[in-house]
Amino acid sequence: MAQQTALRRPKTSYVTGPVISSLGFTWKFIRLKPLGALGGFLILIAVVLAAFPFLFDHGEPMLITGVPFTGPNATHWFGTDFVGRDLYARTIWGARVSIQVGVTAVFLGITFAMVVAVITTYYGGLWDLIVQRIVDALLAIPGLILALFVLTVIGSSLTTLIGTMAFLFIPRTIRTLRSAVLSVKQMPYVESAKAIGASTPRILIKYIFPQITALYLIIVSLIIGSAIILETSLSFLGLGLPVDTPSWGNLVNEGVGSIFFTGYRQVIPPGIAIAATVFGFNLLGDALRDILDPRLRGSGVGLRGRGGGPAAG
Amino acid sequence: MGTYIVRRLLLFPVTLFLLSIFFFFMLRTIPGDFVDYLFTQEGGSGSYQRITGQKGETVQQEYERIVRESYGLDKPVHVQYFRWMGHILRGDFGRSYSNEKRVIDVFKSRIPASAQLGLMGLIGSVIIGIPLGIISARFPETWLDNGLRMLAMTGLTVPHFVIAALILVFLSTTFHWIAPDFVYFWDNPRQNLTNIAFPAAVLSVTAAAPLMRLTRSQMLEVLSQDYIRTARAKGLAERTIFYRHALRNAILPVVTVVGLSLDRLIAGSVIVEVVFGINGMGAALVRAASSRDFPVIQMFTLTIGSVIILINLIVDVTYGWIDPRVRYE
Repeated sequence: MAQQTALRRPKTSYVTGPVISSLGFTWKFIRLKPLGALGGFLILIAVVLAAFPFLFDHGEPMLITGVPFTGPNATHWFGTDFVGRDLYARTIWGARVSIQVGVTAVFLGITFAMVVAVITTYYGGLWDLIVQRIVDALLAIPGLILALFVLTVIGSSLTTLIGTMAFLFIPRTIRTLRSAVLSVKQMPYVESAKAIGASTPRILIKYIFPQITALYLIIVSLIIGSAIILETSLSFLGLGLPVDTPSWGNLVNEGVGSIFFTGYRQVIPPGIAIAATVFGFNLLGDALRDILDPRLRGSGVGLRGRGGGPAAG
Repeated sequence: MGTYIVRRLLLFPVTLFLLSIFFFFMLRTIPGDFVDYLFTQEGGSGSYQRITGQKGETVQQEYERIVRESYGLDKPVHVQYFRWMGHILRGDFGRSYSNEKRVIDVFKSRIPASAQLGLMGLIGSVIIGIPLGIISARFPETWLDNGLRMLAMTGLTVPHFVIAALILVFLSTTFHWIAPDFVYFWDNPRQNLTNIAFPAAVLSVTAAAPLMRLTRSQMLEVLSQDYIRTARAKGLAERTIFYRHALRNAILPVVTVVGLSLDRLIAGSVIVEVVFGINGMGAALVRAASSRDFPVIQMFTLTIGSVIILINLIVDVTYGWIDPRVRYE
């Protein structure tokens, strides 16, 4: 407990930068937040799989290496799919799509949302009003449905998938960040910065941004989980990357298609992979939130999860 | 309170208007309309692409132009928008591009299954989520609590479609279940439930998880308040404290989350309908999107949008009714 208070004592804005990167923090983090560390470990596995899938597979994910619908055996640990591709290799390679799309989309979307939220909220007035009404309208449509249209119409590729998903996270994040910026804006030190004649960009960058970096990190880590769920859901609906690309959503989709031949065998491994990765990001996000900004505990940031949340699915 | 409701109600058409504009323009600025879809479906045929007609356009171009004109897709976007809005204000939602049916008829045939699915999912999630959260908070840090929390975490991390796919595999391999057609509950309860019950169960299980977590954390927070200690000091029974004093105060934020989880429920029902082959709005939307059937898409998204906005309004008003301390500014 003593360490916990010690860790919390610095102002949130100072914790984010130097302390996170230091090794001492990592050790403290593991001791204080074993669940968060477990989350980090799960994420590490997923990231390693995404970066170096060829170290773990045996047999190409895209090549037909066996008889279709072979059950699990020594060469094909999870069996083969409907054209005879190795399901184990495909599951391993599936990590790449989810991690790539999920992480990139969230970083792009949340960063854009942060810039918009900070600027429009700081200036207030008409721009703030317009942005907030647009956010209202966008929030009334589940993200999955929005993504469904955009992707069916423009066609799905890595770029469009990331772009669409990034767009989906913007409205709710703007809403969340707006309240944070509103409270920071009224703080006396911002007032004093104005009084000594600091320019507006300087106030935004030096005085407002640092105060919401903690919230930014928390939102990013919590939303990546739902982003991965959204990406896999879209793939499942056939709106992700082309169907022969090994991705977890595609695998489950094919599993449902060949239900009487593969049964559970093709649904469970990618299902567990998705759940474990999302679980990892959720745990890490929760732990980061508790450490960086305990006031947010129970405020529902990130809880609106899957789909509904910033996304849908 | 009265003025607040009035203001929210006034804001309602504004939001809806922005929503309709957004969707209308988005659908039309993204390349690829229904006519493009029609021609890619027919294979685009290279043979008559080279024959040129009177205006120096190929036969295919002329054909495309005529079809586009007949749907009014050649007009500028804002003209199309005002024409469409004008029709809607007169209660005419247009006809589906792909099968010429009136959109309102498509809508009427699709809404019962989806409405029942959504309602059963919502009720199910409340019935599962809130009591489990209360039990979890009643015995905090016990094996029961930990087990329930793990369960909730699983519900949050496993996507709808995985749970739905697993249940579908189970049903179809073990019981040879095939989704029957939708009938009204009062016409044939058995067939109706065989159709809707399993997808609704998937929806309620996944929607119950966040509800459960929130109920638990709210309960624990309220239980640490001073007035609970006072109640204990007075010597009230633990049961009375828990259910009379704590529960009522803790349940309030849960109500809002029920409203907020609605978009999640709708998104989930799209997936669940596709997996289980239910003839609902979600499945119709997926089909309409892939054939660029603008009138159907516009009508359905507007409906979903207004339902979500309305429910959120109702939730906000209920909030003030449950907790009189809430003041609307």
